[in-house]
Amino acid sequence: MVKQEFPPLPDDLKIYRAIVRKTGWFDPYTKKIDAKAFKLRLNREPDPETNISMAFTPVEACNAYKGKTFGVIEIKVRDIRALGLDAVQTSKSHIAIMNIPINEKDAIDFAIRLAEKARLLD
Amino acid sequence: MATIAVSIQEDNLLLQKTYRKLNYNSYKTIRVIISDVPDNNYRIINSSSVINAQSSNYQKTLQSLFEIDNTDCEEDEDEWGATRPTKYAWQLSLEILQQISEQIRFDFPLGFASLESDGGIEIIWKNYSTKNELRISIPSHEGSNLSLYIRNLGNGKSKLFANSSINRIVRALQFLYQ
Repeated sequence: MVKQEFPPLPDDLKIYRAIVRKTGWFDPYTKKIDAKAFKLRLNREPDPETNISMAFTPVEACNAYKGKTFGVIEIKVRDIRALGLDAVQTSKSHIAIMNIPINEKDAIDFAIRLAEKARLLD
Repeated sequence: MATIAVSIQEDNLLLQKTYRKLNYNSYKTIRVIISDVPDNNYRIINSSSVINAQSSNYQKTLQSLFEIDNTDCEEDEDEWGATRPTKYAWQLSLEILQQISEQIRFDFPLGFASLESDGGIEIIWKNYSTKNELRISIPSHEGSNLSLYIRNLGNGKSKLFANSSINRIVRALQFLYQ
């Protein structure tokens, strides 16, 4: 559990995630966000990923990737909570989408639902 | 280790030994089987599987696979994970797409490839009218399983097969697009 050092995020807040691969994070035929953008990296070494990293602004979302990003995804906190998940501030500039079950099937299920609620910034 | 680069120049197939790091898709237009003969020359003993013979959807799906390997990143990993697929995942993906195209009894469905953070490859098919979805996860290394995920909005359920056969994938694709 993450210690709740920060107040709950408002429902109407929009939060952001960088697209870090040129292909595969959105459907090349419809240009809609694909589940890959929100899929937990359960094969990550040494520890599986347990939450999805988000940021308060598009610029902050891209900061960690040294300019090698290919777009930014936007999603509302309200839409995340509607899926039974939560978006929690974990540091000054970091938000985590939490409560995704740590197994492959649920990780894909929730990634698809999150992707359906997200949009690619123009 | 040397690699053989294949190119076409004025209707001649040119095979050159190179030590340059090539993308896997350097070989994308033709598959050749060659034999090593003395003096660093190579002889083509069979040439087959010209991709142009396949359907347009197959080509587009294959093209998306080539694109995930088309990276200008010099490092094999970055902050997110692998920047290109492993050779194992790449070769297995090509084989799986080829096997599916040989088994499937209708037009090859339009899919696309996506790189996994560990160097594995995911291939995704979506039925845009039903919103059903099929995803196969091709492992990065030998010893891991090929998994199949099916989302069927008809019954509101999804299912994951942690170890799938090609036959099961073909049946699922036929169901997805029926």
